[in-house]
Amino acid sequence: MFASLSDFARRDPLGFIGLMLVTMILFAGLFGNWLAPYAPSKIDVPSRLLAPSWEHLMGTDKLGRDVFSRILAGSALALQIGVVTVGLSVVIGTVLGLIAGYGPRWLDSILLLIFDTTYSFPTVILGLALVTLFGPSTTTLMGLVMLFLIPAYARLVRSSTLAAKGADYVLALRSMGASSGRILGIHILPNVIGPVIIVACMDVPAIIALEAGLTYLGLGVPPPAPSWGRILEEGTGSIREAPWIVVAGGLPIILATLGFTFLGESLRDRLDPKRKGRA
Amino acid sequence: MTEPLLHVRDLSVTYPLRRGPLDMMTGKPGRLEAVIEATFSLQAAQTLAIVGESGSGKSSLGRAILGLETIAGGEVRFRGQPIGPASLASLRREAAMVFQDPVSSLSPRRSVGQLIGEPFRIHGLTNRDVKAEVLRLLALVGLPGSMADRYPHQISGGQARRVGLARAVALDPKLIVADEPTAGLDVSVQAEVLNLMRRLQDQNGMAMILITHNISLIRHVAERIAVAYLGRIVEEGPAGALLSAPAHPYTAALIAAQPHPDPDRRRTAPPILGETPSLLARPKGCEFRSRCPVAMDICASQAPLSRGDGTGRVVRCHLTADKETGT
Amino acid sequence: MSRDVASIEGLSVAFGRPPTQVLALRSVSLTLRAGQITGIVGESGSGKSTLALALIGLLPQAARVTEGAIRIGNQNIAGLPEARLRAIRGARVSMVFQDPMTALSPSRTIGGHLLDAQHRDRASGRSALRTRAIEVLRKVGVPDPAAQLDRYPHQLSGGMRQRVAIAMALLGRPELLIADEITTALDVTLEAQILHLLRELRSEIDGAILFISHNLGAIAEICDQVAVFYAGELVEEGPVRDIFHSPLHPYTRALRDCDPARIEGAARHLPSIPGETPVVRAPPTGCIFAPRCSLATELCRTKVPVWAAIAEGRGVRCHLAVSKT
Repeated sequence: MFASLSDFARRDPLGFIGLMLVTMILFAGLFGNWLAPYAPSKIDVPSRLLAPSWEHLMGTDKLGRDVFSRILAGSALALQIGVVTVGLSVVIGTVLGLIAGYGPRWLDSILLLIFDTTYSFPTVILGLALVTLFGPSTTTLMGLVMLFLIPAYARLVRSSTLAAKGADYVLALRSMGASSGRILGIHILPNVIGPVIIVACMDVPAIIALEAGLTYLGLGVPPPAPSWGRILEEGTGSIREAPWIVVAGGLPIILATLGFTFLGESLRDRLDPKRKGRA
Repeated sequence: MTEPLLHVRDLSVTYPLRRGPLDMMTGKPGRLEAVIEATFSLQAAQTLAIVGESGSGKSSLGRAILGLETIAGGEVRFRGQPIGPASLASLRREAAMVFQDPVSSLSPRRSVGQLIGEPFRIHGLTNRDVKAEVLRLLALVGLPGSMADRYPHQISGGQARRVGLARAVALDPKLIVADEPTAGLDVSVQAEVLNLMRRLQDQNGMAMILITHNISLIRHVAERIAVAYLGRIVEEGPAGALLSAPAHPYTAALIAAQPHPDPDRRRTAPPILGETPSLLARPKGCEFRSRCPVAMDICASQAPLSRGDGTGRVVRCHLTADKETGT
Repeated sequence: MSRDVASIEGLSVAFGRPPTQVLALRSVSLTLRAGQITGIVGESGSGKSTLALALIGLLPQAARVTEGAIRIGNQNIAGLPEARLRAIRGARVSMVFQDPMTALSPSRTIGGHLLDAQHRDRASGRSALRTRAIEVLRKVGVPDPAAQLDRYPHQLSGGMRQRVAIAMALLGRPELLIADEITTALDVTLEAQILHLLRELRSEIDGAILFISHNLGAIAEICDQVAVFYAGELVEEGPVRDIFHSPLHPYTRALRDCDPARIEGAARHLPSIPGETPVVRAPPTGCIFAPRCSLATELCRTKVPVWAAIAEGRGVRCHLAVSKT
């Protein structure tokens, strides 16, 4: 790793920007509720559709709610859906992928069949079905996203595990009598986790955008929760009188996309053991 | 005669092949026979070289001895005990393997120190001072202690080989199986690795199986030689006698094919023509027949059996069988 | 003396920029003559592959020719633009690579490869090109050549693929054929066959063959002239008998003595050269082999030896060898 942040910024400016943006979003997500100048759902009809000012940094919407406070509050939701969902999917997908790749062939076949079946459902149709069944909620949305991410990550880990299983160093460990758990956990895992982390990092903004899109369609998080997608959707209703609401709703999605993508690219370069620490 | 350290009897290794319906109709075989009925034994502190070209099954044979391949037939006895699921754990503590590609046989994200310490951790010997053991082993193979903090991609091929050796001898094994331990090394460095193996063998009294394609090298390191062709051992015996008077035409061809570093000893024609047939299209009768310069009628119809000649040499060839009946 | 096909004059090649640069070749001069097989012997890091790539104008982007000339016939190809180099590759200089498994495109038939190799010959019809392809395949010892044209590389054995690669190189009727470790990936019994094929081709083609190998046996078997490389320098050159029977440079001698095939009987302790080939990043201040040389003196460590030409095609770069002769 780099000795200092300034060294990092000099050597890998895009990665540094990514890290800064992601840190900012994480910070907003964790402490947004305390930082928000107003209660995000507090309705104040007299001061509706105010233009941005020092009092309301990003103006107010048609119910007079402070847009900046709603964006901050929305970042918690975005993180929950983006980072938590992707993180859980990485853990479950990696474990399943390791089992499929290293375990006996019959188990691999069964798991592969399950992955392929879930992966082949069309997203929107399955989304509609789930929402009809369970009603629109954050949990439904997270479940839907995980249903698609887990098989994708599991397949990725499975293929690199299969490659590692045939590698000489695994044969060497077996020849020394190492247990399967030891081989998987200590030796194979560090070699297969890299690509998943990178893909997952790139997936976070896509999932945040997906949430916004589904919410926009009415399939996502129900009102009055202040999600970025909902802010965007409500903003389009009053785009003529108050264009700043759409801008304010879209900006965090763009920043999150850039941040996680840059960070993912930087990690891709960093996680390759042959690129780091070469003498 | 004492009980040999290792006794391999009629050992066979086969790999299943994936077959589609079309393959079944065209008669593509369902399995690949990599090793067929290999038999030999090895005494303590002795070195046996298994020589062969690609497709000879020499690497499969080496791995099967350490229980790393499923055995399709025959048995391997180590110190009198047949190798099976029950005895595998103790076998793997007392026998170690050295691999052909030194860098790829080292787990890429572990430091050299962790890699050499691995056998102790695997076998729960953490009551020993692993760190001190690592330093002792590094010194034993002629590497500085500072090497312990390096990663496999940061060291040279020759150093990686020494690390592989240090790891192999960590638990004072009784047997080492080395698969092409000097392949890809420069000649000037190759000798250092071989000398080191020799020295370790003298110190620890371990037996060694050396798998190689390089016949000019084995004269100097092996007491016994087994020559493999298409998965069968075609000749096996004491190194000196086998090299100076090869009984099997393939052994003779292998020796003659090795170019000599002397322009005055150039050959006028290649000693043997053709290429090793595919393992899936084995010739009928004697399998070397298709390339044998002295093939006879009987070779096409009948597979020769292994015969001992009474001097510790075993040959699988009709030619030698004839000589015996003639005398 | 036969015609000079190619010559390298005082060639230095560097990879990268200081301070991490690697001086891969330093002041190398070598002449390749028609009807001769010149062998280049060297271990890893000797610069032998860089030399081959320089001769065919295929040096990687990171490489710079810092001084010297690479002449093919009378033309200096050092620094020529890519378009002019392309006219030389495959026509005046051809190369066969180490790995016959990857040297052929897996989705193209053997016939397709052999037609591609004749792409400059636009005048001849397809059937004439085909006939010539069959003729060359026969020459390199491919059985039933006409039937092979429709097959794909994966349907051929390793030895056959290497023969096809040699046939492709011959089709352009090159003046210089470069064979870079072409027997290294092959089994010994096959190696012997390919070596003999090259020996036969020597009299067939009207040009020179550059045979690069780390295997002294293979070099002794087929070469006429031998150049020994160490850490980017030509340390000794001479006719094959002189190099093997009366080597002048301590490295040549040590390398020869390391070859286990040369040692009669069974040796319990094999000779080696202690140490490793250095990576040269700055111009050396002494003999580059001195740190590993058992005979090195103070002079060797402090003064760079110059190339001493002893006779036509015989020379050495060593303080001790020169003072002896």
